Amino acid sequence: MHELSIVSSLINLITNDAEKKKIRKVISYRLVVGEQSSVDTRCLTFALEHLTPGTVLEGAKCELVREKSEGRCKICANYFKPEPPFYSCPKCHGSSEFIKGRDIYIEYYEGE
Amino acid sequence: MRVYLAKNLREANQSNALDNRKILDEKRILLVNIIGSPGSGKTTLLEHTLKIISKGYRAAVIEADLYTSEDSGRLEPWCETVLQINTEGGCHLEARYIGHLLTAEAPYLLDMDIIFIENIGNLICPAEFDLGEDLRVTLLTVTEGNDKPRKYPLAYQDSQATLITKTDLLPYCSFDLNEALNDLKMINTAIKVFPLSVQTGNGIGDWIQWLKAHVEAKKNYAGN
Repeated sequence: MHELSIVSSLINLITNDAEKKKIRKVISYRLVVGEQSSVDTRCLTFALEHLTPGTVLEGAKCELVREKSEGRCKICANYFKPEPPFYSCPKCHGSSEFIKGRDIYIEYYEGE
Repeated sequence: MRVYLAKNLREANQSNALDNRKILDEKRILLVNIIGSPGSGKTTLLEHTLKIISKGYRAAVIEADLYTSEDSGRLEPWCETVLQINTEGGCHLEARYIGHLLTAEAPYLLDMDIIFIENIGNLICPAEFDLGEDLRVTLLTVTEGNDKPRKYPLAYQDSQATLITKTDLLPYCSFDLNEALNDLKMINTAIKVFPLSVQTGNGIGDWIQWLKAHVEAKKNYAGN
């Protein structure tokens, strides 16, 4: 459900940027979705289909790219790929923080 | 023409959360975001917490529900003010809702010592939206089973504390307390865990003491 607010942010961000650059139509854009971003890409696609008509993004091709997770152990500073359910360090079992893979971001868009 | 943005789509919420944090830091008000499944005991916990905390501090609650305002009615007798947010189906709160209350709709919140947010009953979406809180407290209740941290680890990973509620029901439920404690520590080594029951009062004292220490620390906050 929170995919709706993510898509609203996307539309606002591109609309504002495109206006500044005098871009009237967006042809394509690339979204990077972290493995652990809690974003359901099916819900995301559904929200895009329903929210983009009538905006600068109408009809634009969306490329979705999955970003692999990277984490750092809070105890021993080991870098590793955090895996659910615990995301803990394979070396010392300490808890981790995400460096990559928790976010969703727009990498670029193409317009004319 | 290709335009590289590399912009996080949660950045708008993060920016609003930062604004909330600045306002609350300046006024030295502690903001506590309570997250938990439906039926995990968030409102009951708040009733009992407010009864004690309100004796020494000015307390308010921001109460989020999809549609009803029943919970607000339960909390009103125990604090200075309760502000109801109905998300009308929305699964989480966003920082801009809290910012709107602080700066426009209810500026008297800035006279409080502590503000609690009772988030929407959900362990997925609320975990993704920073509201500008000092403390994120996630509930785990005995009746829902000890597997919830394993099933919803991200909710517990970013929390400062977990309250294991309804511990008076432990003899009647197949809830493995040790397993829950181990799982929580694996997900978040620094997390404080308070097993408690509002029915028997067991564990409430430790939770209140921890909370009061944070209210005092915030009152004495010297800024960055």
